[in-house]
Amino acid sequence: MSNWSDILLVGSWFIFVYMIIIIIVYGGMLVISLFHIRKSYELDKFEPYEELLHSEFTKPVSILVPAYNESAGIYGSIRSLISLEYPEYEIIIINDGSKDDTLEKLIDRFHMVKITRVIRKQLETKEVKGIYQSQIYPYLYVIDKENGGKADALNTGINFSKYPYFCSLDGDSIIERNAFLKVLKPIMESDDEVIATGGSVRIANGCEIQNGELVNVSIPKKPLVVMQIIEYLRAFLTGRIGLSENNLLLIVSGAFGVFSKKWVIDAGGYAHTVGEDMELVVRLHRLIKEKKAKKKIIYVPDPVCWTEAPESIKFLRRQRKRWHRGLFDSLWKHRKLMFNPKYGSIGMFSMPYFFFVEFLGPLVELFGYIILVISFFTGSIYLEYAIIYFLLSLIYGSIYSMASVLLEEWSMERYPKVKHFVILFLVSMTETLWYRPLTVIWRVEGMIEMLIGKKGWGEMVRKGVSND
Amino acid sequence: MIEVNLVFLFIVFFVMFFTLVSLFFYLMIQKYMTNKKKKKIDQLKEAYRLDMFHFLQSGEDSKLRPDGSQEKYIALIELLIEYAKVLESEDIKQRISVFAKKYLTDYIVGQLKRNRWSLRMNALYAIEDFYMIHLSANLHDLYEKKQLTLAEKFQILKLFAKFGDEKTIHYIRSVASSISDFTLLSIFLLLEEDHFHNLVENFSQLPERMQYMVIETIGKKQYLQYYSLLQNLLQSDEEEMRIRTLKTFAYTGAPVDEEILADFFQSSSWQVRMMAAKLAGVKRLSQYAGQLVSMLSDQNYVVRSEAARALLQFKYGANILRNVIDESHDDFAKDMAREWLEKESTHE
Repeated sequence: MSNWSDILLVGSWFIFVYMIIIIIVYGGMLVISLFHIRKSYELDKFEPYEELLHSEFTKPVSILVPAYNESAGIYGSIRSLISLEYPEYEIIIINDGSKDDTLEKLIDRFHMVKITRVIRKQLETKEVKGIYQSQIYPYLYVIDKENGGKADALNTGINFSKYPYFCSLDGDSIIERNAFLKVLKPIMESDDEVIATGGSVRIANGCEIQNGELVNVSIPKKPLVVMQIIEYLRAFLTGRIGLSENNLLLIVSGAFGVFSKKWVIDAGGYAHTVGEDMELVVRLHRLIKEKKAKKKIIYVPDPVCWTEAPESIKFLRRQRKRWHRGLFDSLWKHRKLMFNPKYGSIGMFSMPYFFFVEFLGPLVELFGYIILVISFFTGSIYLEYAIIYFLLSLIYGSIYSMASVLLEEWSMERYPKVKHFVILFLVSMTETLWYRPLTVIWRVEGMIEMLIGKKGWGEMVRKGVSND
Repeated sequence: MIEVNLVFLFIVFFVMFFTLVSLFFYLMIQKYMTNKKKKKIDQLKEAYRLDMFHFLQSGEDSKLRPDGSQEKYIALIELLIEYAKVLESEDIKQRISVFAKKYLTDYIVGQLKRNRWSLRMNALYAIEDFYMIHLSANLHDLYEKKQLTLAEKFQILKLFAKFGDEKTIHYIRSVASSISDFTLLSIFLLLEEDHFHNLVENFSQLPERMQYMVIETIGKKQYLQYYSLLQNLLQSDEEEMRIRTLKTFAYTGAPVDEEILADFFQSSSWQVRMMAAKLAGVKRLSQYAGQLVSMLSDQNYVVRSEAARALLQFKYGANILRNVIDESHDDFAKDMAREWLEKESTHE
């Protein structure tokens, strides 16, 4: 019996120390963000980008949209790309062997005709079946290819693209009209020292969208989705700014990121893995360090891309399991970097941070919850442990989420009504009580599936965020 | 010990919790007030929109005088910015500038001193939009300040360039190492011709990056008086300089020395070959058709593509490409010819 209580005791203390460290790390990142974002609060929305918009020297961008069975949302997404505020760009949709009528819909709606074009094969990909160009918008192309997965589709797009920078975009996200100006500005102003930028992603559910354009920002009714909004705010506003400031960023969201084509090709393009977006960024960092180049990967806090979040537990669970496996894949593939001083801060801080905090975190938290439950059954001696754990997880979950909501309001104010702010804040208070444990369980499930080697993607059924 | 920890943790938690809740109430009230203020500004903007338009036409500003309320200031500034962006006539620009000088000077100067970076930037943008040249002295003072961020510095430099300020070049040279090519170029493009001339006069003393941007500016602004400089630079020892000069020739109407150009088709650098092909196309130098055809088999994709594009600029270019498709033994050349012929027919 004393053995058991010893284990419980040591386990509890380990968890407490772990959580306190994480609380301090998060707190630090929150403080960095605080000063950073507030700086540009109320900055004119147009003036800083006016010059880029009218300059001939603004770098053109190729927008890559991989599409696999995206029939429901593809038209709206592409419509939002047609009227972007950017001097020169092309849109390349890569139909990755869809089984639905994605291709037919595109051909029909945009008056696509088949063209012959030489594709410069800089990256190996599956076979291309045909290339189409829109007769209404000559800068809009569709590449029809054999199914090969998202990474393969993106690589095909890179091969076809003609501009020095490309942007990877999810088939079902809505881009703000000046998104590219915002994201390309740091690239241009640094004379290409910045080789990749990611923008903030927000959740589109509940917002009013017409013809692929965001008309009205609002929040949905379902608490599950509201909670995800808060989670995104927290991840983008607090986590990434701190990392970006120190060139430690390992994630550029797959939903919206701009990359230097040359660097991505040198790094070998996208790899076929679950989290291809993160894996690429790690590889770019690795390449930068190996070449000893003075290049950066940064993140732009301005929200630029709105994406559809899963509305049901079922799909959310799949998504989280997939994300967690993606995270592990990237870390495992590049395990050589871990604690390797040759890779500087990426090896000494970012990799350990993503492994011990982001990847192992859920496991530790789960043990915490288990101890919590055991404590309640084993009587009063352990009740204190249970309370300590509960308080720590409240700080770690609810308190930081509440702070993120306040930070958003204090620095960005993207939710127009007082009502929105109140709902977001009230829901964020409840995070630790239900949402956090759920995501912990899902992520641990992801780990288990990884161990037993379950494959498969877990597709998300999309209903489309835009009205056609 | 655990009890002490527990109490401590409770205190930490409640302090955090109550701080956040208080901040929440503060922000909530603030949001409510801001929303009200925004609504009022929008109403004022609508109320004065027509008056503003009349003023810009006639110069009659009696209805627009600010009455000290911040909302009215902001409404007027926003209206002015909107009009300044859409109305191009010199008369109107003049009126906007006079109005801004008369009524908005104090407000803008105040904004320049604000603690928050974004507000100072907004003020600098307003100075640009309203051409508030009379604030030059304030800007010089501001520029000298140590804690000025680079973004502000560059914005002020743009204003100086626009206002034809004597010290512009001196300032630019002192920040040349921290300024990006893109910013440098946009400032050069704003310089008045005689200021730019000073820069070119000292061309050889400029840092390399500034030299490149000077060449770009010559091309963009079509300053043909610097033809002999370009001619010399074409024979520079530095490859980058030659590439950039070729590009400038492609932009301007300046005739290029054809003998020098001939050598570039065989250059070992693909960028040089590409620019030479581009130039031959832009200037329609059909005597180089032979070289361009052989460049269709260049090992570099970009060079092949540029050669095909150049050939199409010639009178019989399409025929030449068709011949390549029929007769060439090089599949790469054939593919490229086919692609550009198709592009031509779809009028891309």
